[in-house]
Amino acid sequence: MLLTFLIFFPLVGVAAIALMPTFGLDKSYAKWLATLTAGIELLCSVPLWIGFDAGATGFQWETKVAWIESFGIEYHIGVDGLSMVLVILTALLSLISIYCSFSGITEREREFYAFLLLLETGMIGAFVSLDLFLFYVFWEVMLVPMYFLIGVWGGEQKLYAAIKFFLYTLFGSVLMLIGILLIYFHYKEASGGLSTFDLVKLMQFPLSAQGDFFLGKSTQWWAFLLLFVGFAIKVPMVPFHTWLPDAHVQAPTAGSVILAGVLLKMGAYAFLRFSLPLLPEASIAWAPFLMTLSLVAIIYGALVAMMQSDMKKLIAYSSVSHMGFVTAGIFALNYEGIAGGTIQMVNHGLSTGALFLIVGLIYERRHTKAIADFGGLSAKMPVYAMLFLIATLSSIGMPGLNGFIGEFTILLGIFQVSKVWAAIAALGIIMGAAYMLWLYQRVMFGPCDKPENQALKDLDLREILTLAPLIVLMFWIGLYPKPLFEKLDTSTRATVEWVRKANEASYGAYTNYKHRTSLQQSHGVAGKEEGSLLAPESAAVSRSDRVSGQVVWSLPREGGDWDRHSASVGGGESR
Amino acid sequence: MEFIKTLFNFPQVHEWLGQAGYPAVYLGALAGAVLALLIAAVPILMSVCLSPSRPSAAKKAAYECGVPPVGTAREKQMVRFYVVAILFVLFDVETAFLFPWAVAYDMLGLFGLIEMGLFLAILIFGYVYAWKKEALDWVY
Amino acid sequence: MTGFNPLDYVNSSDFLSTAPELLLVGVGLLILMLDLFLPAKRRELIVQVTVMGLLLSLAIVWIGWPDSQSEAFSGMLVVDGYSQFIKMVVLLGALLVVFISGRYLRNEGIYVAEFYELLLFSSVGMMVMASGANLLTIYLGLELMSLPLYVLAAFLRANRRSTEAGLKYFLLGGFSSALLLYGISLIYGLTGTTNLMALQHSLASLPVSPPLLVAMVLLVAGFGFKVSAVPFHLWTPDVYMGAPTPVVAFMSVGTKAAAIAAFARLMVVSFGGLQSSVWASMLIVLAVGSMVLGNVVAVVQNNVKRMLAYSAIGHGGYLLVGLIASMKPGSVVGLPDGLTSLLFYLFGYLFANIGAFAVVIYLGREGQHESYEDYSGLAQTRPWLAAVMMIFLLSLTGIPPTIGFVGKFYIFAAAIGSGYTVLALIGLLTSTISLYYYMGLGMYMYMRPPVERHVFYPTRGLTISLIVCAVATVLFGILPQTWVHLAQSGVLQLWH
Repeated sequence: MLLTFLIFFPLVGVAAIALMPTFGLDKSYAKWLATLTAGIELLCSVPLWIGFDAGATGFQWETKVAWIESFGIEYHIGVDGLSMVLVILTALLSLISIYCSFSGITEREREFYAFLLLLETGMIGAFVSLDLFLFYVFWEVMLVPMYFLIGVWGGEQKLYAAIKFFLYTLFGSVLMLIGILLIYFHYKEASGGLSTFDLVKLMQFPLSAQGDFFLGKSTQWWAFLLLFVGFAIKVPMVPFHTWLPDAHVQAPTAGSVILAGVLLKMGAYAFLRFSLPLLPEASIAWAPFLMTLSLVAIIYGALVAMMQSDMKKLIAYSSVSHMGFVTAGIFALNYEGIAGGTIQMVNHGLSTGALFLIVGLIYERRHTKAIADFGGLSAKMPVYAMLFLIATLSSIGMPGLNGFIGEFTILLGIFQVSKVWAAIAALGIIMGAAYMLWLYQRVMFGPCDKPENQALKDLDLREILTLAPLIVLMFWIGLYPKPLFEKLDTSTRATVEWVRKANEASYGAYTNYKHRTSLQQSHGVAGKEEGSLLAPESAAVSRSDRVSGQVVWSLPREGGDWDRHSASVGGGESR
Repeated sequence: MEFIKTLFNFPQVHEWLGQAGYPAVYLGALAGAVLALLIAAVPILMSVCLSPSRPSAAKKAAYECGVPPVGTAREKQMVRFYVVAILFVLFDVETAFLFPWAVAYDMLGLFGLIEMGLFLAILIFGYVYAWKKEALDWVY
Repeated sequence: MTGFNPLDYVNSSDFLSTAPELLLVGVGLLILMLDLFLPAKRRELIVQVTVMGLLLSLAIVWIGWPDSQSEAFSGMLVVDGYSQFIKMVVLLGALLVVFISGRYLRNEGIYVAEFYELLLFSSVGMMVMASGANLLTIYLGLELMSLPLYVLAAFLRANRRSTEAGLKYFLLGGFSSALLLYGISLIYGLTGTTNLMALQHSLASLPVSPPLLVAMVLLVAGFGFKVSAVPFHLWTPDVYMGAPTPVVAFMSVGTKAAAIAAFARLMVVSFGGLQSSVWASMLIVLAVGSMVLGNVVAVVQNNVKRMLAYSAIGHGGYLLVGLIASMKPGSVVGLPDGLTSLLFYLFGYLFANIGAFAVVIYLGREGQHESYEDYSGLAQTRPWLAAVMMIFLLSLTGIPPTIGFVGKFYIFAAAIGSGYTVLALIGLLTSTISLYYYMGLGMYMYMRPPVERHVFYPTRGLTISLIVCAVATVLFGILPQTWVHLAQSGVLQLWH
């Protein structure tokens, strides 16, 4: 119930704002109504953190209601460590982005806050959905308000940026939808006519990783590709990233904060939540490719960021680089990599969110984002300079701040797969330090020679308050990340374990995918023959392994549900 | 007729038609169609070929006798002509339905009577409509 | 012949099961008379009688919802959940169109009883098509549907574009009817029957021969014209541009629903056997052409009515995908999912499309205020109107949580389920293209400064229909189960 409340409570705020004229409220109350709604939302999300049982496997606060019976679609929501953290991050950043818009948004305020709250519903819904259809619905619901936020309240190129954002994401979404449908129909066939979009149930009958579905590749391989395009556009991974700088530069501050802080996480989250559990063999098969793309993103994003003359664009490209770290961590496919990737998702939300806020603050004062228009601000705005410095250091991974924890853990993960890759990723950190510090230097130090900058006011209390929670969290994660790691531990371990088991079942011994791919290459044909000879027995064995892996991953706290289901669909013979 | 029969009785023709999937019973229809075409075409061709042709200005005029035409035949007519013509065609065609009923009246019995009553009622609706809309008035 | 008794062929239950149609014919004749004998200022009564008749007919359809298929008039018509679903869509469409047309007709000076009458007769034709279980009844329904529509398309007598639309629609429509009839006669020549069930038995043993192929092509052409599938779509933009807007709203939903319903019944029931692969390959060409051309050409339009016309071609393509999905390669029996998705899609399309046309009617007179620029800043001057239009556009694009999304999802799910993954891919990609122009209009409404606009006040009917359409679009998008189930059970009755 708590999660349902969290999803739909912002809609109450939307309704209240929409009906304001009916009750004779002036439109200036819209921001307060929105703040109130988002505040209550954040308060109500705190029990998730406190009440979360870090030791329990499976999902917590589950709700499961039949929704569209004809397709077996359920309103199935629940959180594990990963999504719980992201839900709280979403609630926090939503509140901040509403609070930070008080001075920046002066036109069509009611619509603005209504769209922000609608967006919050979509984001939280997507993070807690355990049904693929439900997830897709929320995934799409997010697009519409974001489209309006960019298109109505954006900069000069807003129309172009808005439609580009919408088109890119929808393009990915429709491919993703086909991937989801492939999984759905596979389940239907394998289970003898049962239909479901439920993540937990779908995991019982993984798509075949062998065989020739199309062009010599297996169903799972294709399903992964389709989902990958959808998720990668959202992350964004490198060949699909071109919408991001446009969207970020044109979006209003609140839009940028949400976009960087939450929407980009959606892609990485979806990889962890859906791609790895549902398509474990394909994840391994694709991992080298995705790892390469991630490393390209890290280096390319950093290089392009260095060349930027616009602050927002620079931070946007730094996002590409940082999200490259996240995906690199995930596709290291080991405990450290995935844990680090998750932490880095949170970190990036905090630090990049803060950086966009900081750019927004100076933009409101000077109406320019060009780096060349500034210089020597530290003397005029000391508080601003300090907060900017903390956010910068957090972004470049200074020990003692949150960025370091995430990046270090990710590097640990990548190192186990390949030392060369780890070295390349580490290079990205150095470049990150270069462009961020250079940015800071050009804006903050040097002579304050522009006359317009002479009279700049330092931050007022409201502005400090918008940044304060982010700064506090940066220090907290940087100095004492243990509670966060603890909360994430079980879900991360279960994911890694599940992928490992699935691959053991399919390919025999598994250490990591580097070994496996090289093994396959050396005796490719022999392995194939062996597999076909052993086919019936090995299939039975693999099923039983999968079932035990399943238990680790997703046994609900009440217990019974999984047992009942596996018996009913014929997993019984493996027990 | 025998000639046509033998023409279509070549076994190859049957075979070919059979391959194409046409039932052979259509052959008669085809033969009939060809014959009809010939009967129409041959006299025309004959008259074109055999008759002498010595055109003159008076012969090429639209009418060889009577008053010479003035202007074209395509000129504006009063719209009432169309309305009346349409009404005539409508009611004329509809009443054609009465004939088969009259022939089979004894077999259709009461049921047929009611059906025809309904049919005529609908027609009367149309008639009343045309009347009230002044479609039958020649002069306002 | 002496033993002939007409009552062997007709019985009272036939009239009961065709009560919705008979009622509408009666209402049509009634308002014809009312128009003649009522004084001019009591005109409102005609509209009220029309609405009452449609509601009553809808109620009969709803109350008498069948649990299994039953025949009427010795197998000329059948009544099953499938036909009733289509009838429901047609009647709802007609009802909404009556609601949205009042002010329009008054403004354009065509506020006459004949409009409602022709609308009713056309609806009856659509309902007959939905029920038709014999090629002849289907043809009869088709003509009964089309003839009033030809007149309605030319209803703005003083407007050149409208008369052009009427004439064009009439000529091409007559031509396509002739093609269809020729196809029917070929089928009759090959099998000796026009009854759909009897056809199934005869066709099951018939190899695919040239005359059968020709017949199939002709049938596809005839129905393709009514669904405005590429390459039989050429009339669509001109007719949609010229015809009165309420008529276009009605045509775009009703004609499509009835034509595709009859076509689907013919294909699934009669040609479900060996020929399905031939059908499928023909229809795939049509479907892909419609989806691609309709959506791509709609991108470059700058007139809302014309954009909706081209997008209607695209939606015809999506419907064809549903139809194709009901034929699984190599399988003799059709698949219910394809047809169910088709029915559901029509149901969703009804509200979104008529709603969008209602907004067009709301904002201006015929031929005016129809360009994208005229919608600039609507969100600021008329926030609620812009919001409902946005809902309709999102539904037409297929963005959740609207009914259009569920419809598209279902259609493409059915296509993938039948093995047409690439077709589904093409369809979904073209719906990404459709996002561009639908959201292009959204962009004008929300992101451009407002323009001076003549203020038209809405009638009650217009407001009601906008609210109904918007609420249905969202509500049934979130809770579609009832309608999915209804469509599903209806389709299952097709095979008894």
